[in-house]
Amino acid sequence: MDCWVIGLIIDEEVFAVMLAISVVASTVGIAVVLRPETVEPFTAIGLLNEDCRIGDYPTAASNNSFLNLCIFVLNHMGKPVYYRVIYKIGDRETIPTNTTPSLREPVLTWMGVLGDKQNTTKPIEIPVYTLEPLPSTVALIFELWLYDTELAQWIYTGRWVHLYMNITPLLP
Amino acid sequence: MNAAVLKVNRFAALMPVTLIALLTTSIPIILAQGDMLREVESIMKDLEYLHSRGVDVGPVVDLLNKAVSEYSNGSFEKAYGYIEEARRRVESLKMEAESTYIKIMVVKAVTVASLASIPLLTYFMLPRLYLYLWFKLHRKWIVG
Repeated sequence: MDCWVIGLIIDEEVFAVMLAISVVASTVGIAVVLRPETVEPFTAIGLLNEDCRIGDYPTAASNNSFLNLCIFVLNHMGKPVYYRVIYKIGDRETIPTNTTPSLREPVLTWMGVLGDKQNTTKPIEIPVYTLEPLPSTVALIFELWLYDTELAQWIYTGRWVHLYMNITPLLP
Repeated sequence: MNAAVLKVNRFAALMPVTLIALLTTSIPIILAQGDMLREVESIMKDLEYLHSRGVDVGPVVDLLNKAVSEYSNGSFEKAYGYIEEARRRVESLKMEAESTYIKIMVVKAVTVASLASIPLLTYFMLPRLYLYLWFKLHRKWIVG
């Protein structure tokens, strides 16, 4: 149909606006269909109290005692992951960074497999102790590691959580 | 005194035998545990491939998670059973991975083509549709 015919039927400006709307809608639709499922892959680790809720964390424990906490792990990597949470007991000088894990030796390890966009919350029981003179403050460190299938080795994700704990000889 | 010496000697004589028995029974377990973890790692590689092909790997992920959990609890037999099941499912999923990927690609291509045709359809069909509806609505009009 020629332009002048279109002009007779629908106002040309109205037709141009409708055409523009259809072009924008089409472009947005195609972009939504073709966009990658996971734009920015990430993982997360969280520390929860013994009821598996945020807050009300213990602040003190007696030396050589056990604490009940929960660990939360989220996978948003756009693929299934084989993860490992490593528990270490450190201090203010041995906290991990975004690039390097804590230099302290692992005390406990929890492993699992998560699908894409899946998360898990695990109740855990951890030993708390120090060899320093009491009372002393320690950092309970939880690091998240992922297994890299290309490199065939465990890689530190740069994600960690820590909780400072006052270690006393005996709690009242 | 003699009996005590004899007992000590017997114990000393049995020590190498005991050690050998311990080693021969524990080494395969240690190796099996190592193999089990390597098996999980190898299945993870397959899972990543299957996921990239759009295959639903949720059930296999659950099996592997159970396997790792049982392994951590020291139930190696149960863990091995879950790994075996996961391996079987992965092998069957691998066979349909490419066809699933092609199906997903075809659906995607058809969707994109349909969306791309919207402006063209608007350009060619909208005036005709408008004209058709206009005549339909005004068919009882009489030109004086």
